[in-house]
Amino acid sequence: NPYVGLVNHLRAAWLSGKTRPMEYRMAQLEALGRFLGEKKQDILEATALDMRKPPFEVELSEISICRSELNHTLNNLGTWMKDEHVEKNWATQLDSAFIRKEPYGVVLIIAPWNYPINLLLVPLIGAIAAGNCVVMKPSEISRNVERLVAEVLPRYLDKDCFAVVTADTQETTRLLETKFDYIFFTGTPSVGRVVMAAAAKYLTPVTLELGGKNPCYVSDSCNVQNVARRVAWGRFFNAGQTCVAPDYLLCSAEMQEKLLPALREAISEFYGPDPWDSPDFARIVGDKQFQRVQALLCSGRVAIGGQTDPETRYIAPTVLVDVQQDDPIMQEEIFGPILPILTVTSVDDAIAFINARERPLALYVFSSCKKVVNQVLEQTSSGGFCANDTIMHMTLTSLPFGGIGQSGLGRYHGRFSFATFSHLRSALLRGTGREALNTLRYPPYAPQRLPLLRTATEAKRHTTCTLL
Amino acid sequence: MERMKEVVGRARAAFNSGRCRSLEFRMQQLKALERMVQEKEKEILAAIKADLHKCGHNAYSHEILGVLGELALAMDKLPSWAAPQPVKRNLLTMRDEAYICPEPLGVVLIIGAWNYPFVLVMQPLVGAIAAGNAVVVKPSEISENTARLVADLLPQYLDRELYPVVTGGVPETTELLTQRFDHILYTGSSAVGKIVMAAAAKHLTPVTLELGGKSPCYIDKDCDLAVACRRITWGKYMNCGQTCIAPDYILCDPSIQSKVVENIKTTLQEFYGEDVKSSPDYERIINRRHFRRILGLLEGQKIAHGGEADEASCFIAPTILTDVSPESKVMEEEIFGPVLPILTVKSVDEAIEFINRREKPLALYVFSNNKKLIKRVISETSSGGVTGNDVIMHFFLSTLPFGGVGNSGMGAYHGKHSFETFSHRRACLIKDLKMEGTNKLRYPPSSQKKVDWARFFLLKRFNKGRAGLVILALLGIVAAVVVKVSFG
Repeated sequence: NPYVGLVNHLRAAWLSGKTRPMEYRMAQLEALGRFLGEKKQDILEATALDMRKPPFEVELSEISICRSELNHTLNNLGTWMKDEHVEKNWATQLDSAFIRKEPYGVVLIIAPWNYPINLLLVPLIGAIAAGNCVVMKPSEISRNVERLVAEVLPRYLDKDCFAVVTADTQETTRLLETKFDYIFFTGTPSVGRVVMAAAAKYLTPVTLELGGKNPCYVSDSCNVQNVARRVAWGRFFNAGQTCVAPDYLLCSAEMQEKLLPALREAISEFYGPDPWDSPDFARIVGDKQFQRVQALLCSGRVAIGGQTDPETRYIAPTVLVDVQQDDPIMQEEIFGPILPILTVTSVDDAIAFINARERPLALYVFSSCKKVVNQVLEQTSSGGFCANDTIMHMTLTSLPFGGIGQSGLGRYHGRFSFATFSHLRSALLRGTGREALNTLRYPPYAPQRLPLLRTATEAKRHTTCTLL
Repeated sequence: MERMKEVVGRARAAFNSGRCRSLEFRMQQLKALERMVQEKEKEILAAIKADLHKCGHNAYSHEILGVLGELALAMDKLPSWAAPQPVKRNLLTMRDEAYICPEPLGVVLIIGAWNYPFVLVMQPLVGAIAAGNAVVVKPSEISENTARLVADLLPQYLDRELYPVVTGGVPETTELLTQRFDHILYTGSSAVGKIVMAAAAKHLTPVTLELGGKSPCYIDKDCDLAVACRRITWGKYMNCGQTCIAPDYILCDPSIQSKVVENIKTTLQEFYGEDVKSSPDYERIINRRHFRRILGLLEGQKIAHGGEADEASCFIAPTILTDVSPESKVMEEEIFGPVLPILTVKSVDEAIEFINRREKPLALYVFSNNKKLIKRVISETSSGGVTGNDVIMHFFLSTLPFGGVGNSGMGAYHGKHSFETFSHRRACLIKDLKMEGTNKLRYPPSSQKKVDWARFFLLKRFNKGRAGLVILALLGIVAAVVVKVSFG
């Protein structure tokens, strides 16, 4: 196994205690910040080459988000690293009881191709902050970013503790045969299963950020033009290759009639009369993915867009109508710039439709009626939820980001990243005095000791005390 | 085997009906569970006695006390645990509602172990019910009396469809693990833990694995040996050594080894009298298979105390081994029996190195008067949990998360940590359809101006005081207006 040597080297560095001091972690994080600043142009170029990512999108969704996480982490690391003292019971009143956050050791981060900087660096920030050594495996599909990360990123970080490996599917399988102390994976559910099965061999804990079909319900009471803009923005950003993009839309037939012209208007506002010419619209990352998405166009009927160009891997911002549950486009996560609309008769109908399917990573509701929003929120389940917008819940570092069921396991962003990559170790430090109290618990057992023991250790129900 | 599919299917249908989501329903079930433990105390203690030869008082304080405590805590705190938690917003979301909403996961599976057969299914069950899940309970078949009792009692007190009990051995458990769950909490060995996680991987089911290992116990030269040894004796020989967090082996300087042995012997006398076998407070090994396994570990060892055994009653006397070699069989697996090996090390550095060369244990113990030394041992090692100058006790403080790391497990529970383990923390952002002006910042077509404004909004955090809030709000409105005018 070609990777064992590398992992052993990193593990030795971790055992040496190098990554423990806060100053060390801050220094590495600051170096990451310099990477983002000094190599911004390279990042823009690499992402443009890989997917024709509009620089504006890269600024917002890759660089800015990383910077935000970095700053938030640098500002709070001291607090996060502190031992958390906990409430004690009677028997432990004079002891020291706390939770210590410790690094796991050597962690593996596997990143996908759709946001190749964000989805590699944001977990990396958490892993470094928590004091781990890290092996990073960027996606081989976004080749230019992979090369940039493999060649340039290591220059900024401590080579003893952080390494980038490039690997295709076969090599990644070998990589997964190595023992890691934590694995963080972003990708599809099917590969997620493979990762977790490999982790099980070593009892390695995992976080899996997967995907699914994110439903978007639009009720009859709403500002149609604003809805259309927000939905179009979320759907067509990065040419639809976003794990939290609204995957399909549910609305009444009447609303569909109003939405179509509004969507047409929004697309035109965003990308001009021919999106092919717009510098603000991305392309599909590779030929295989292009063919897969293109094949989905046969579902229903094209109401807007539908044009494709295999040469440039262009698929126009497209809206499909008359889509049925059994159509191909409803069988897999679209991950492309196509928005199918399915009609439902009521919000209950929409909820039933959503609940009959796997729990998604994100769920969207558009309504100016609070009751409708609350009803959908309470009667469904999803990784995250956003009312009256798309994607935005992901930009708040104070909200945990993760899936449920097939859409994932675990969460990160902000302090949740730090917690994800930390082992929470319980510690109780006692003194050797007051041994007399301990006799309560020693044999030979005397039933009369029990009431006192219970009082000392049991948690009590709080009762309303009228005296106080 | 179809039975498993039916049982889990019924639990899922019951969960989907939504009835276990309301806090009132969960409280009602928890109260019923409390009544069960109080009303059936005698039967529970009798079952545990039949399984482990455990006397009533011991069983009560090890198994029932803990469960009652968890129930009281959960019922008291449920409203606050289940309430949505608002989070800090940024400028772009300052007018919105942002919070984390704890939600049930769905149908969870709890697989118990035989050594503390009642508390190891009940304590997780309390957390799972509190979090609003349906729960399939699978007690260990090895502690058969308790398993049978749990299977009889739970349906009498709790909702039968939501909280079914499944009994059986390896074939039944294997079948059960092919079903889809939304979380699995397993207590047991690392070997089986891997099997559970592999089965869970097929469904992408999150797991909490409470496993084991060899929990080291380092005794420093500078410590009150009498007290240290008394505490160690208590923790090691309770439940006849069949405790996942028992001090598995001792590391100490050769100069104090014989004193350690003497102190432990004295304590054993205090605890169990001259004839341990006739003490009502000393348990038995769970079955013949484990009895033989543990006896096998004594081969070739220097027995400083104990060693007597009687297969008919699965009795093994409290035993101490000295000058044990790190390569011997007794140092290869978790002992899980009343055999205490002592290994000598010349310094705390050697002890730390020794510990770090091995798998991360579930618990780690250090005895010393020197606080700095204790802190150093903790900082330079890793384990699920630690107790300094005592053993076991970190388990009893429910504010401390209880779980392992590496080979000793993943995830944690007890108290609020149980509730969190069995909940999904759903991120919620509730916006309205107004203020479209600010959104225009992010829409194409792009411009440098937009990028600069976007950066400003995204990177500013909203944690100023009242006055700052007002200023920021004004700034926000001004910005929105400016944006509307320039990009509208």
